[in-house]
This record gives sequence, structure tokens and C-alpha cells, in this order.
Amino acid sequence: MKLKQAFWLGIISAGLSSVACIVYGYLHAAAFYVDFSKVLGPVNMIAASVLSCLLMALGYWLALRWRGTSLLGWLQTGYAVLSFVSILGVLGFQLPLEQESPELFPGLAIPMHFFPVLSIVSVFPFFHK
Amino acid sequence: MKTFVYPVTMAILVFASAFTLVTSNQWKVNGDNYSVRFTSSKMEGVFKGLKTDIVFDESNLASSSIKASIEAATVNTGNGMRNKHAQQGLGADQYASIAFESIAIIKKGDMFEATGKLTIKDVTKEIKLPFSFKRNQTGGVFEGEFKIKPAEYHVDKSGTPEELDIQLTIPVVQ
Repeated sequence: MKLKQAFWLGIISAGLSSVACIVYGYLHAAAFYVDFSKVLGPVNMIAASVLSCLLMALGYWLALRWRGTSLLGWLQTGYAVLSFVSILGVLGFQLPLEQESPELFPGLAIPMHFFPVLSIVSVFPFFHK
Repeated sequence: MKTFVYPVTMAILVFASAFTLVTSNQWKVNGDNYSVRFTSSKMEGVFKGLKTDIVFDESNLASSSIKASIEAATVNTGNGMRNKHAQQGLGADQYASIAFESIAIIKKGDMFEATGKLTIKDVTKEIKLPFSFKRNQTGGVFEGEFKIKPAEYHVDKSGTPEELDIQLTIPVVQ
């Protein structure tokens, strides 16, 4: 995999992850009538998706250059574990005190923490044959 | 008959104006812009559901009184899990409100001080609540700050701060 391919892998998976986050955000708001957009708006979702997907794509590029395909399984397991561990940050997150129904925030943010890894793992086979 | 018209009218006017004077010291909370906030080194949070019965006149403190309550279940620390913990600590299921009722209000320098009974859960203790009152175009603003030790009120669930600083900002209108 070339660095250029890794870049596009990151960008495309970030796009998919962003769409998933935004759609899920709207569904969550419609279902629970709570607006978390001041804390977690579309800009935050896109920025987080781009950052995490580009880093994961860079990880794929480095792993393939270093050990070929032999590390891919461990790499993807590592991504999944990191995504899982990152939900601790959501559980301990303090929202602004004027934000109503903070108990509904984990239900919005925790699934979103898995969208970048889901999208990059889905898209990766198209870039690596 | 006509001789009674003027005395009766005057009596009604005097009675009505006296009634107006009494009610003019009555203050009610101006919308939801108030803040009942607690802070400690560990956490901060707010309460909602403020209900008040305030009679306050700076020039007649002897007839002034403050009654206020907040709903324990409205505690918001900005974190859902911590809110649940705080509600359990406050026994919000059993003790729905936290209440304050003044016994006496005195002037203390530029401020006022209300001595009163604060009830949290099943404990009522006498506290001193220093506060200021600033009039503005729409009415006025009460601001006060005091400290409590939650354990003294049987709020002693693990993780509860030893001391809480309570800050009140309550805009009022007549």
C-alpha cells in the first residue's frame, strides 16, 4: 500500500464515519428530544472521524511496510480495543451544567466511538488486494 | 346617605393602599434565570425546581422573611452517572425537596444575613446565610454564598465531598 492510498483510505473511511455519526446524532435527537449539538455537533464529529481514520490509515501503511500482512489481524484488534477503551472518556465526561439530561449523552457518544473503526475496517479490503 | 359616600370611599382607598404596601415587599423568582450552584474541589453542579416565598424590604428587615426550596432530584453535575449517585446520596426518592426557612434577617455591613433552618433529608440545622440584594430596573437580584458539610445532613454516600460551597443567584420581580 502506498502512502497516497493510505491517505485516501483515511479520507473515505472518515467520510463514511462522519455520515454515520451525523445520521445517528439526528436519530438520537429525534428519539429522545435532547439537543447535545453544543457539545457534540457535526463539526466535532467530522473532525474526530478525520483525525482517527487518518491515524488508523497511517497505522495500516506502517504495519504493511514493516511486516507485510502478518500484523493486520493484531492491528485491527488493537483498533477495536482502543475504541472500546475510549468509551471510558465518555462515561467520565462532564457536560456543561446547563445541559439537560446528561444521562442520555453516553447513548449518543459511545456508539460514535466505534464508527471510525467500523468504517475503516469495511473500506480497507478495497485498498489492499 | 350622601354623607357616607366620601368617608366610605376614603376608607376603601386607605385599606386598598395599605394592602398594596404589604404586597409590594413580596418578590418572586424571575423566570428560570436563577442559579443554585454547588462547588467543591471534586465536583460542581446545579439544582433546579426553585420555589420561593420571599418578603423582603431593606428598610424593614423585621417583617422580612425568606422561604425557599429546591427539588433534590434535579441535581445536575454534568454527568449522568454522577447525577444518579448524587440523587441516591440526597435520598431524592424519599426526601423530594431541600428547604430553607429564615428565622431572622439582619443587616451586616453592606450585606444582609439570614439566620434560618436548612433541611436536607431528615436533618434540619440552623445556618447563617449571608446575602446581598441589588435592585435593578426589572426588580432585583439576591446573591448569597455559604458552606455546608453534607455528612452533617446524612449525605454521606462514598465520593461525597467533605464540604460544599453553595452559591445562589436569584433574580426576582415583584
